[in-house]
Amino acid sequence: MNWHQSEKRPTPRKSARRVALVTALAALTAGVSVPFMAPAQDKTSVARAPWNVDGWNKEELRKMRGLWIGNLPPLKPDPTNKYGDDPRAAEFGHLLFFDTRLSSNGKIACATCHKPALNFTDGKKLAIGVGITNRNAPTVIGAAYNRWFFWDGRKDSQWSQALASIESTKEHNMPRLQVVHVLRRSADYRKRYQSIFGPLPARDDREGITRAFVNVAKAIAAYERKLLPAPAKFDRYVKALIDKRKPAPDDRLTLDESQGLKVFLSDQRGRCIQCHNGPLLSNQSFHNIGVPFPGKGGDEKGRIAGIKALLGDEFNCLGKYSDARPQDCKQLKFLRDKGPDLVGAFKSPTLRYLSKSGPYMHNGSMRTLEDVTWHYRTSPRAGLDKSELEPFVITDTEFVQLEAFLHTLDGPINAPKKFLKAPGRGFARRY
Amino acid sequence: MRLIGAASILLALASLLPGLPRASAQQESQAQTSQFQAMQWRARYPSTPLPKIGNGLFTIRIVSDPSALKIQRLEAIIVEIRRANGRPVNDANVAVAVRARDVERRMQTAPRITRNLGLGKYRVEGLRFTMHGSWLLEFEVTSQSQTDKTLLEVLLK
Repeated sequence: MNWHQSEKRPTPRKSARRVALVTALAALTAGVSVPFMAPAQDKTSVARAPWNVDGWNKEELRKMRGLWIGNLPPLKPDPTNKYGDDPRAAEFGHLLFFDTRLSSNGKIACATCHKPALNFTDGKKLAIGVGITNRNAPTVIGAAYNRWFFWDGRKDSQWSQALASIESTKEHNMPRLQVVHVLRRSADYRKRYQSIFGPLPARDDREGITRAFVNVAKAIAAYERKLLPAPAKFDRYVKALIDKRKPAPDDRLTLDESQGLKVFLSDQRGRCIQCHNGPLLSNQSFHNIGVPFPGKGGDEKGRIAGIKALLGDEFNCLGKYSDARPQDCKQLKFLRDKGPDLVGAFKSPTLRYLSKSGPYMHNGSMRTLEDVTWHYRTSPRAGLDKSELEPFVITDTEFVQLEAFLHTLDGPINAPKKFLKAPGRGFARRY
Repeated sequence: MRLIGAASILLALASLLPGLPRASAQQESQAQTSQFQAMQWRARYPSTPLPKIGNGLFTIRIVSDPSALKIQRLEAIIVEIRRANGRPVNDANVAVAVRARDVERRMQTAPRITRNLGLGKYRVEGLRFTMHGSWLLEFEVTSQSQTDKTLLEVLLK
């Protein structure tokens, strides 16, 4: 048992209840209505219910429900990828995801930076492919729910993200023509490709080669769509509260975790929920939080540069390689591409699977979660434009408790077991 | 203390007097609940009063159900624009800018009027709220060479 578990949990203040009772009686005697009386009593009764072991009020319960994984809707088909839910494409994508032949030096696969054992991250400050990139590798789990890809959101689909990584000189450094050669050389790949997408293009068919390259990325995306988040301790705890039953002993939050959650939910103190909301704990938006960076910040422009790249991308939702109809691309249609708030702004990442996904932030500049919470607590000035952060008003204890809560968001992965490891034959390299 | 006691007794007696106009219990309860909710929001988001902008040439209100709005979805609303004299504005050119009320944050989409529905009603599409709380929708309305700004507040629960 941890030291804090033996501590007495805070109980509602009796004096406050007495004051409320006396006021109520006085008001009834005088025949005057007190506007807040009925809801206040209701609020108290929820907080005192036997199943509500940590005394959450209605508002906190509502917010917790919003973060609960049960609120995650079933994954909708990706309109840009008609092969997204084809099981044959997912199987093929699984092979491609772990295949180092899809790199110029034959050593880099998608799984090099998205290792299943590390919750599909790499544990490194910056992702290392053929060269050293300038970005930290985020998790792929639940990424199918994302609206934007890469830290600056310069891609709007999983497949267009995958093909950018394959061609990037710092990642796979693999030209599309070479990718198609890999398909041609392998009898298994050829057969799989042709059964899903049709015949491979001729060697001089440039348009066909690009389309085949896109199909490879769509197969990888079909595999990645199978990697979904499963309930963590926090979710099991909230589910118990929703069902109005006491959480099982293993699911009950410790005092540190529950107090950390309180800070997380608070609009006055932690304010974490402003950007980390919804069941993936990300508002899928871009914010400048003053993350430090070395040098002059040439590639630290963030969202403002990401939007420019996205709108000019031939592989975006409206492009000819996308399977979407124009009316499916509303996100692109209503994009705001100007404004100082977009300068130096990077995507709010999911807070699930944090314990193995460090170092943190888009440039991996924070080694531990403590460094992250400390950054929020001090909220330094931004190197580019203006940071949105205001300093946390929390005590040293709450600072530690907040981190304890974040660990309750680490859960298993909801995916077929075979997809959580490298495919057997021909993929001896460990990930 | 004596004064407070006397006032309480007087109030109690006044409430017993017949013939005085009194709201029904249901109305009173509804008013109390909405007042409570408003207070709750203000307590949570200690805002300054809604800023006054424009010259009051136009009024605007949401016709669609604002409680149906959710965070992290691309939303659309229907608004009704009228002149100060109550006449609907059917030829408005409208620019929309949206920001959170209590934190310095602009909406990262660019919402705009996508359809003129007639009788002063317009469909606004492209709203994507990224957090709960109060959001301000600033409309710059131009009609018959007159331009004015007006604000709408939306609460995302």
